[in-house]
Amino acid sequence: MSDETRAGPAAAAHSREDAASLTGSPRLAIAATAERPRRLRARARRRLTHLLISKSLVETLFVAALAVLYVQHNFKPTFRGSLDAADARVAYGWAVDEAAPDARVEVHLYVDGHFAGRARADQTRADVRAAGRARDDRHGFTFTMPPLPPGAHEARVYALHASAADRFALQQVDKALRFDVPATPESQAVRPDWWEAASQP
Amino acid sequence: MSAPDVRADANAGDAQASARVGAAERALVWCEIASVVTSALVAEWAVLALGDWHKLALAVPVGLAFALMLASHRARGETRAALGLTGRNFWRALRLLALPMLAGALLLALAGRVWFGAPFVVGQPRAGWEFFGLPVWGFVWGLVQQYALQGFINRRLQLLWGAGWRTTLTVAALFALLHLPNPWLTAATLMGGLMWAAVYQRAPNLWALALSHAVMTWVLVSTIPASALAGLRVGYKYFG
Repeated sequence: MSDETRAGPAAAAHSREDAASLTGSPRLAIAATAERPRRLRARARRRLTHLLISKSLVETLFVAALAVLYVQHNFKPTFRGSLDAADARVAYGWAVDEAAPDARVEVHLYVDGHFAGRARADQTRADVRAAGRARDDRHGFTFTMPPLPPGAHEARVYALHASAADRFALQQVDKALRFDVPATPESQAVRPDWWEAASQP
Repeated sequence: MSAPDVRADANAGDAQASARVGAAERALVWCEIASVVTSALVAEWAVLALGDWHKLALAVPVGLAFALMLASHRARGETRAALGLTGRNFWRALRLLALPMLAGALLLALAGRVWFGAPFVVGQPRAGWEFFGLPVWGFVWGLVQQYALQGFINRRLQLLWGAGWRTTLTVAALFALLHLPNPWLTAATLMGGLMWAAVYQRAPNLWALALSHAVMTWVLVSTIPASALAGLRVGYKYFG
């Protein structure tokens, strides 16, 4: 079957017009007979338009789904917990991953935006289980505060999770807590840039 | 083909295109081109940004783009021969490609030497590619790219403007756009796009273009250091 036959009579007629309209070399005329697409019929145009609209809709929904999946995977919405208290000596609370309720969540403490310690939320907190927030007792954590200078400070606790094969993310647990460190001989001896001197726990 | 012949072809094409394609169809053609380019951008900038476990999701934009292109060919009665997927025009296309390819290879070798002080080392897998794997993969990947770029976008632009410099330049610019933000690859694909688009308008054969694509990719990774090519990564992946 020739290309002309397969393309249909309209295309063949069109090709003949093309060939006739080109008065250049025979080579150009040959190219024009076969290479140019034919004009769309009304029905074909409608179908192509519908396909374009459908494709755009599917692609839009696809990108939206990707965005939701990305957020869900990287900013895990299943962490629950509380930073119950924070003062000059300790910060404590509980954390549980509802997607993996038997796992112990690793938590990091940040004071004034600086890393101040890491711990595993595996201490006994019977009240958390009693409140129906966990399946077992062991989801509590306690941090010992590093030496801090006197004044107002802010503590935040983050749950650590692997968001990809090569990436970890920190998800804040509950809200930040503000606390004051009283002026004592010990606290006054601490440098304002205390985090520079603090060793990794 | 002589230069006056080419100009005659372009002028005749322009006149036919404007006379033949009405406003509604022009809009449809633009939408088709934009839709295929958007699918490629979604694949490069959205899907690949989300990490390795999302790679299967590439099938969605790629599949949609191919579904649209195939449906469009069918609606317009375009045959394999018309697209350049048969043996017709193969040798003619190769003859037309030979000189610009040689010039491009010399330019790349010179750029590698002057810019990076790197000599041309035949077969050195500078971008992490194997010596034999690159030509084979380059041919397959080149065929896919040339089909979309020339078999679809070039042909659709010819419906609007006919054959000529405007169509050639737009095809090359779109090809370069899809290789951002990799600077060396963007520059190389702009030059390659000009060459392939111009040759396709004179001798439409995608096999010859795919062969040329594979060879030029191989020359590129043999002349420009891997650190500059960033492993041929494009889109979001370029940043790591």
